[in-house]
Amino acid sequence: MEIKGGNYRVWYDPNETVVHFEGILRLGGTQEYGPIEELLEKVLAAGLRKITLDLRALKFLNSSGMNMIYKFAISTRKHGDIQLTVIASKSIPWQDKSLPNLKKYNSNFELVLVD
Amino acid sequence: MCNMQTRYAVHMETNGPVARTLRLSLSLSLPLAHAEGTFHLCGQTADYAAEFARVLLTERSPPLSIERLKERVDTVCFVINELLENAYKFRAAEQIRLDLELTENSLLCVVRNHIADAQIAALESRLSALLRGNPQELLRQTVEEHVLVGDTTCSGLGLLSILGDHGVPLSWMLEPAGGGRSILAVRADIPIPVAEV
Repeated sequence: MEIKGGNYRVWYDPNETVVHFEGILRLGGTQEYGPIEELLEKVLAAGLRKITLDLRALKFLNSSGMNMIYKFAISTRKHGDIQLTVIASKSIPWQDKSLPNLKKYNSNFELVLVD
Repeated sequence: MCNMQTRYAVHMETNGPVARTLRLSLSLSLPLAHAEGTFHLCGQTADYAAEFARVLLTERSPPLSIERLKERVDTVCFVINELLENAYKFRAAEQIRLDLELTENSLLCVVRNHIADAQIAALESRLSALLRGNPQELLRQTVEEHVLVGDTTCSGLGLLSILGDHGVPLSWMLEPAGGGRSILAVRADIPIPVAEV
């Protein structure tokens, strides 16, 4: 599963159960984020015990994109005992500022900040 | 970079050979009807303004650390992008104006656009809630509401992220413009720490 746009790419690696985000995501609201939300919902529907979002290569995410990620954290919470892990980069400032918010939506959330 | 209906007007000024204050004004003229590619210009403009801020901050003496510079520029880009996206979504006239000014310890960003007077009551109600509440708690509530409501045209998280995640104070000013419209000016006062060695 892969979604590609002008300067971003989102894809799912089923072997590692990791959704990778890459580039700059500044889409215009919920509707434009729909295809990526669908990808995430399909991953969720696969019945996994652990899902990882790798955001290390995502340089920019606007607030509509953050809304999508936060909503996904709530969806994983509602699906029961799923461990949600987000891998983020210490060298991309927004990630350290905004991603800790995910803990508010899902207590089974772990943020891994790497160099 | 721009389609035929989009214009940038750039104005820069300094207050002397050894400039203490530098200003950048960008004027975007975007058609009111949504056209392919116009929303993307908010991001491109934010990138441009952030690069301008990077140059200003790099030339500051003594300089910020590399990490702090990167962090501030990242915040500038996020703040301007969100303010321009809001201006784009709610504008009642084609023109949107962005002013950026570096002062001794802050970077002032002001985004101006026309809004319909009919929108003012809803805007004031929202801003009132924003100013009374805790941005982090409002952010949590807003996202939980989005899950219940389903599709939303605007996430409403931009201002909350600016206030809460980035710690940037915001202020708003409305000025009647006639013809059932007013000019909304949103000011973000991005703190620039005292220069570090």
